[in-house]
Amino acid sequence: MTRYLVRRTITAALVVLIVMTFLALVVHVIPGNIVTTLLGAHASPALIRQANAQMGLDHSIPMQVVLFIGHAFEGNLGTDWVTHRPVTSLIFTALPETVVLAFSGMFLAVLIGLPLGVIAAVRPGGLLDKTIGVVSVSLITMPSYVSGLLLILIFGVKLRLLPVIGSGTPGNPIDDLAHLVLPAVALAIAWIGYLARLTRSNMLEVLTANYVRTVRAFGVRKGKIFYKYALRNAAAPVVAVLGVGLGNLLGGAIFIEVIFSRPGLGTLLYSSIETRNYPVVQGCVLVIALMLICANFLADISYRLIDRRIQFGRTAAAT
Amino acid sequence: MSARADEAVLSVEGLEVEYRTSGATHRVLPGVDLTLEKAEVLGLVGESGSGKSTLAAAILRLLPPNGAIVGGRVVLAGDIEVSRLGTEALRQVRGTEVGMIFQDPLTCLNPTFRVGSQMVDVQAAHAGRRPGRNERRLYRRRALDLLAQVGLPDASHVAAAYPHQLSGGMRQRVMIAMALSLDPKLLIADEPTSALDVTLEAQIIELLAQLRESRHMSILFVTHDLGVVSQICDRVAVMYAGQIVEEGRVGDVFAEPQHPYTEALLEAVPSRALRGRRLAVIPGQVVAAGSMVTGCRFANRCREAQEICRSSEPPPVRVGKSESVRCHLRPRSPGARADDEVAVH
Ligand SMILES: Nc1ncnc2c1ncn2[C@@H]1O[C@H](COP(=O)(O)OP(=O)(O)O)[C@@H](O)[C@H]1O
Ligand code: SF4
Ligand SMILES: [Mg+2]
Repeated sequence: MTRYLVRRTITAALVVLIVMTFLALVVHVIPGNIVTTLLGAHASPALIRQANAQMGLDHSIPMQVVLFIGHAFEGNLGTDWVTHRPVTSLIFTALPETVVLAFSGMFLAVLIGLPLGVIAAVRPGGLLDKTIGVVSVSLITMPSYVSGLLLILIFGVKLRLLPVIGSGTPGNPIDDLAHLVLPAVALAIAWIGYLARLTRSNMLEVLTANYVRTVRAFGVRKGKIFYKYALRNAAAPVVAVLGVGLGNLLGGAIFIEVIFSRPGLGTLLYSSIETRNYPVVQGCVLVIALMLICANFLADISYRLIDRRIQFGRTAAAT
Repeated sequence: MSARADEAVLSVEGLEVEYRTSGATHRVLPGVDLTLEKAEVLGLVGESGSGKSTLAAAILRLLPPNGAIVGGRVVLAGDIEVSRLGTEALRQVRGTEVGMIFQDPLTCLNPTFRVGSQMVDVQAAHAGRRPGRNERRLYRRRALDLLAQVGLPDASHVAAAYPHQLSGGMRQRVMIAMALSLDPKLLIADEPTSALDVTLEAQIIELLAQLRESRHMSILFVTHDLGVVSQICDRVAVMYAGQIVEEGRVGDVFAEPQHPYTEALLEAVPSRALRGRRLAVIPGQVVAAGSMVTGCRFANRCREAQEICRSSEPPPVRVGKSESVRCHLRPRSPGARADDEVAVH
């Protein structure tokens, strides 16, 4: 276990290093110096020098990366070039928005996808099953930015049912929720389809298991078998898949935010790229990388948990 | 016959079962008759694939989705015709009239529930109305009692355990306790000890023998172990390719087997060494289950096979002390002696 953790930490450190180096390289090679873009062509050399120093661009690329990471360890991600606020405080306001969106998407996906899968499994091959099957597969193939745009068009522009811009007025939870609905749905759509398929096939498999035959043989009611015994077994792999899905949903949330102009890490990154606000870009990229690393770690752990069950089943059956 | 059927705990009459696999149908049971009296233990023996589990499952209509009963009937307790029961009536019969335990108690208990809660649910399923907290407490106490009765003195620990935390022998005891919780008159045990080692097997057999004494329970004991049959069974039915080819009291059949298949099974085994003895290997291939056979199903492996064996199916007849034997050459014609036949081959 400790060896595993050490290995994971080293990998994580390497990933951060590579990502940040890559970012510094990109800044270096894209045409147009950041500072001159920010200050205009007629800025004085002294001002340019000062700006470069402030953003840490006056060092060699390896040095830039080392210094940035060193400062990050001290909790210092630099200063917003435009507002002069510390980047950490910008990120701390943005990060929860993104996480909330990702988890709302996941919540919706489970809330809708799991029951759909269960309903489909009640009568496999029936009309309901076939309909749900077609819908699920179409949902799975729809990228979240496409469904996001469609939702904006339908519910925001045509029907004007729900707000599609921003995250609502602070201190008004109902407004907050209203603003959260469409982005969360956009994020959840593919996962709804996926979870519906997964749950259905798990249910059908579980229903043929010996332990289901046992409770049938003892006269337990069909509904109870279905919703208590089978569902519990069918839901276990779904939980593990969600661990894997978290990273995916967080990544998706970053795009969805931009489409819905919701505050969050994605919009923060997007707007800071637009304004060439390099310290903010750097901070966002680091935090997003860390976030995805954590999500992947979770995914790995959940896979291991399933694995242990599988391995366990095998050894136990052999004895 | 009818008087006997009235007494019978279980009466299977002309039961036909088919499996559908990718277009083809296989008639695995071509018409089985079987009767179990009150407090009687009947051993159902036969090679793997002969249709024992199919018969056991068909009794409570628990066949897999691709299997179907296409003929005959199953009557429980003299007057419950299983094939006529509606869904709810069938559900109520399952477990209460007939309890069932299976070969592999690990896969037969739900891995995500504590065994105690599975035992409570089984009792609650037959409570009539939705049981409240008091009833569930009662079921729990009863579950603990039963666990202790089946030789698990540390009952509360066992009840709180998940199946994988128990040993194979303990799991099978749990299954037995679960079956007992509904107090069935008949217990169907489908190879309950095949997954256990010899010591554990002996313990489980001993337990079943005790329970049969104390509860006057009938048991249909499915096994391919002749030793087990000799230990616990009153009667034995020998199954071959979906058909019961010989049936009778264990002592009679083992002492004087009539059907050539039974003879071959017992031949290599000195009678005192039956214990733990798996079925002897008999040369030749069993006919594919469900294949259409004219004549005797054992003919292609039988050392006595004659012309008539391949052309017409032998009917069940009483031979010697055996109640029912399916063989054209039984009873033996007065001139022929078993020794001569062996000498010929
Ligand atoms: N679900 C099924 N589908 C198709 N064939 C089956 C199925 N279950 C059993 N069979 C076949 O039916 C025959 C009898 O099987 P089974 O009743 O399990 O025998 P036994 O319990 O005596 O080993 C075998 O040939 C087996 O292959
Ligand atoms: S009927 Fe013929 S083939 Fe069948 S068991 Fe008897 S002797 Fe053998
Ligand atoms: Mg079997």
